[in-house]
Amino acid sequence: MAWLGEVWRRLEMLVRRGKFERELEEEMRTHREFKKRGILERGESDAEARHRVEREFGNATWLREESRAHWGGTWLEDALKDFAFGARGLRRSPGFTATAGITLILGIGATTTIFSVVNTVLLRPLRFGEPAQLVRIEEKHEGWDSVAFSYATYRDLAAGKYRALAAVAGYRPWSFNVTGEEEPEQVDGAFVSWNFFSTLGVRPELGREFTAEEQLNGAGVVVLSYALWQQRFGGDPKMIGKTIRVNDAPHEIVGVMPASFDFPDKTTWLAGTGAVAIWTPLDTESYLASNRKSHLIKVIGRLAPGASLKAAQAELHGLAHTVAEQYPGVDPGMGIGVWNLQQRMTSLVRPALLVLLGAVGLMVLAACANVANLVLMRNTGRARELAVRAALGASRARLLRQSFAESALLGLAGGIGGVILAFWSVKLIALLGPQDVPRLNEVRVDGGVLAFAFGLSMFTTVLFGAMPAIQACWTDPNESLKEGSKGTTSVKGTRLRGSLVMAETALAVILLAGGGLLINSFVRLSRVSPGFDESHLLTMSIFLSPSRYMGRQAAIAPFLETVTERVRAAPGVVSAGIVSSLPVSGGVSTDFQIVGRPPAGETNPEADVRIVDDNYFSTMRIPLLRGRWFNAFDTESRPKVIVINSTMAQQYWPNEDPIGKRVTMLNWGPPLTGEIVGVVGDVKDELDRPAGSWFYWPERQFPQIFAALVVRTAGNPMDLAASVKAAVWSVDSNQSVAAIQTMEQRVADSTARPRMQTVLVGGFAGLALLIAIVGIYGVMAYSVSSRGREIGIRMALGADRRAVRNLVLAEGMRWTGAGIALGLAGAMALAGVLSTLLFGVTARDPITLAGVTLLLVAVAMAASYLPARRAMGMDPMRTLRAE
Amino acid sequence: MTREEILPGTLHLLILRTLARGGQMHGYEIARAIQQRSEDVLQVEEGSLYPALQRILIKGWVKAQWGVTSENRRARYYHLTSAGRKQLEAELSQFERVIGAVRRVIQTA
Repeated sequence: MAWLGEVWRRLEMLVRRGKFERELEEEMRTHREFKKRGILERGESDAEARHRVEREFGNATWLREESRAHWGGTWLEDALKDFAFGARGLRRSPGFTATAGITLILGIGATTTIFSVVNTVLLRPLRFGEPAQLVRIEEKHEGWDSVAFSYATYRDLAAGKYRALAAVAGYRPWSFNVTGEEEPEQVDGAFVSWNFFSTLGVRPELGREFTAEEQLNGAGVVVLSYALWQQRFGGDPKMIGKTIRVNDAPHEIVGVMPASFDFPDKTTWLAGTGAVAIWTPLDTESYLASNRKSHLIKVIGRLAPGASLKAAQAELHGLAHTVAEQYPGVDPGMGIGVWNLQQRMTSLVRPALLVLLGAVGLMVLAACANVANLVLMRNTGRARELAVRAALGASRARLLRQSFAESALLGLAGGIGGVILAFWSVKLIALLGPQDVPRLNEVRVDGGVLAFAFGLSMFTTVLFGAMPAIQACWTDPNESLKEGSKGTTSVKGTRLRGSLVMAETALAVILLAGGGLLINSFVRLSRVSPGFDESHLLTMSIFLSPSRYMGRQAAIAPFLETVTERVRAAPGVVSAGIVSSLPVSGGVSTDFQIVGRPPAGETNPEADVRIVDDNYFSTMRIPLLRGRWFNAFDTESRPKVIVINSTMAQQYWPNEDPIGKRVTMLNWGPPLTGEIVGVVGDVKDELDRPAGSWFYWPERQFPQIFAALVVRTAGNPMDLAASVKAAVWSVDSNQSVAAIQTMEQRVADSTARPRMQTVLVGGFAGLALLIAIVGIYGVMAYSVSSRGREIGIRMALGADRRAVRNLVLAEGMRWTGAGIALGLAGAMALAGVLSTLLFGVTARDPITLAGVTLLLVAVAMAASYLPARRAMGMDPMRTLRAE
Repeated sequence: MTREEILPGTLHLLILRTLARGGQMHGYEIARAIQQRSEDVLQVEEGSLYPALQRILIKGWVKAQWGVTSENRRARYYHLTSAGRKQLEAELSQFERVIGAVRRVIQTA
C-alpha cells in the first residue's frame, strides 16, 4: 500500500503547490547562507564567498524545477496544456464537435434513462423485508392462469400448515369513503388479513398492526397510509386511538404505515385515486365464506428460510388437489401456482421494457459506431499534421497524449451532457409514464448504469481517437510527408470506416422496422372505436357507502335518480347517466344459463355484467340495434329485464331474434332471471381485444353500491366538474366523489403503455436514422476529398462527370446496401420479441419492412449525393495542381 | 584536495544513512555531514541534494519539519521514517552486494 501514500503526497503537493515552492525557496536560501558563513569562517573575503556559493550552488531556478519535477508538477502542467490544445482543436471544427457531442449525449442519456427505468421496475428488490422470499399465490383454472382466491379456498389455504411457507396473507382491494369534519373523500385501500404487514416484513411507523382476534371479530380498526395521515389528519401522532368514520362505520386508527409503503400498488386499481390509503381487517367470516366461485382475495406468502419455490408449489399442489376432490362445485381444473412476487408484479410490463432496453441498446451502439467513425476520420485526416510535428521534434508520447486529450475531452463532454439529459428525462418518465407500470414513481438515475454509459463514451472516443495517432507513430514521418500522399487512405482504413457505416445502417434498419411496426400497430389501436362517443363526456366514481345501504337496497336507485336529476339541471349539462363501472376500466362478470337451453359442456358460459340507469345508453350514444333501452317502467315490481350486447346476440342467437329470450345470472347472489328486451352495440373494455358477451341490468331491478356517473356536456367537460360535484353533494353531503376525468382521458390512459413504447422506440429509431445519415454523409464526403487526385486523373483522362458521380454513389450504396440487408435479416430474426406488443400487424409485416428499406435507400442516396455532386464539380486541373 | 563525484545511485543511501545516524538534520547539515564523514572525499552538490531530498520525501522515507537552528534561524529538518529505515537496510545490503562483486572482479583481474 506504499504507493497509495505516495499518490497522496503527490496530490497534496499539486494542491498546495504555492506553499511547497515557497518552502523549497526558503530552504535553499538558508542553505546558501549557511554555506557562505562556513566559507567566511575559513577566512575568505565576503565577495569571494558569495562568488563561490553562487558558483557551487548553480542555477537556483533550474534546481527548483528539477526538484519540482519529482513531484509530478510538470506532468500536470503538460497535461493541462494538452487538454487546452485539444479544446482549441475541438473549437476549431465546430461541425465535428457538435455532431459527435450530440450523438454521444443522446446515446448516453437515452441508455441511462431506459436502463434506470428497467432497473427500478424489474430488477431493484421491492422495498419489503427480505423481498426475494415473497411469493404471489394464485388459483389456476382451465383457461385462466392467474386468478385470485375465492373466500372458501383462501380459508383452507390460510388454515394450513406448510413446511415451505413461513406465512400466507390475503387482501382484497377496496374503495373506502372517509367521512367526517372535512369533505367526504373516496380513497383506495384494501381489506387485509391480520398478518398482511408482517408477511411483507414492514412495521407500522406509528401504532401497531391488526391482531388475529380483530380479523376474526370484524373489529372496526384501521391502519392509515402515511400520505392520508399527513393530508387529512395533519400528521398528528395523537390520532392513534382516535375514531374516524370509514364507510359510515366508526373505525379506530391503530397504526400508520411508513411513507414508502404502498402495497397493494396502484397497478391493481382499475379506477380511483392511484395510491393505497387505508387498510382494514379482511372479514373471512362473511356471507362469502363458503363461496368458491368468486375470485376476490389476492394472496401473498413468505417462503420459509431455505425453502424453494418448487417446494412451496409441491405442497400447495396437494392442497389444490384436496379442494378439487372435496368440493365438486369448484371451478374446473383447480390448481394453485406460486411465483416470485416481484416477477409476477412486473410480468405485464416486462416484454415492453425489454424491447425498449433492446432498442436503446441498439441505438447507443449506432451512436458509438458513428462517433468512432467521426473521430477516426478526423484524426486520419491529420496524419500529415502529426507527421510534420513529429519531424519538428515532438515526442511520440506527446503526440499520442495530445490526440488522447482531445478525444477524452469529447468523451467527457458527451458523458456529462448525457448524464444531465438522463436526470432530466428520468423525471419526465416518472411524471408522464403509463400508470400501470409498477414503481415508476421510484425511478432514479442508476449510478452503475451511469458509470457504464460514461465509460462507453470515453472508451469509444479515446480508442478510435487514438488509433490514427498510434498508426502515425509507427509510420516513418518521411513516408507521410512525401509529396502527394494526403493522410493514410489505406484499404484497411476505408474498410473499417465502411464497416462502421454498414453497422450503423443495419442498426437503423432494425430500429426503424421495430418503430414502424409499433407505430403501425398503435395507429390501428387508436382507430378502434370503443363503441360509444367519448367526446364531451365527464366521468366520476360515486361509490355508495356499504354500511349505509346495507339492507336498504331499495334506497339506492332513488338516490341515484335524484343525483342524475340534479346533475342534469346544472347549466351546460346535456344528459347524465349511471353505470356500475365505466368502460375501458374493467368490471365484473358472471356465469349464466339460457333458459330452456341446457349448457353445452360442463361449464356455464360467461358474460360481463353492468348495471345502468335509463339514460346511460343515450348519454353514451351506444347504438340500439334491436328492441328497446330501459325505461321508467322497469321498476322493482315489474318483470326483470336485461339488454345484451351485439356480440352476445350473435354468439348465442346467431339466426334468431334474442328479444324475449330469458337468461339466468348465476354468480351474484341467488340466481336471477331476466328477459331480453334490447340489443345494443358492443362497448370495448380493452381496445386491443374483441368485446366479449355483455348484459345490462336496470339499476332499479338490481341495485348495487358501485356507481359511476357519466355526464355529457355542451362544452369542455372539465369546466363542469365543480358544479356536478356540488349537485351530488346537494343530495347527500357525505357522498364521496372521486376520479373525476374526461372519458377521452380515460380512453387515452388505457392505451398509455402502447403509446409510451411507440413514442420511445419510434424516437430511438428516428435518432438511429439521423445517426446513419450523418455517418453515410461523413464517410462519403471524406472519401471524395481524399480521392481528389484519383478523380482528377479520371476526369483528365476523359471520364464523364456523370460517371464520376455514379462512382461515388456506387461506393456509398455498396456499404449501405450491405447494411440494409444485414438489418433486414436482424429485423426478421428479432421479430418474435415484438410480436406480443403488436396489435393488428404481424411482426414481419412486409409493407413495413419494404417501407423501411425504401426509406433507407432514399436516405443513403441523398446522403451520398451531396459528396458525389462535389466530386462531379471538381476542376481536374486544380485538384491535380494542388497535389 | 581532490573531491570525488558521488557514485551514481548512492546519494539516497548516503542521505538515509546520514539521517539514521544524526536524527534530525537540515539540508546543509546533511551535505556537511557527508562531506566530513567521508573526510572531504565526497562532495554533495546542492544541485543533486535537493532533487534527491524531494524524491525521498515523496517516497515517504523521510519526513520534513520546520524547526529552528541553534542560531535561531528557520530551517527544514528531515528525519527518517520507519519506511525509510527499511529502505536504508535494503539499499545497504544491495550496495554491499554490488561493492563486493566489484571488488571480486577487480581482485581477480
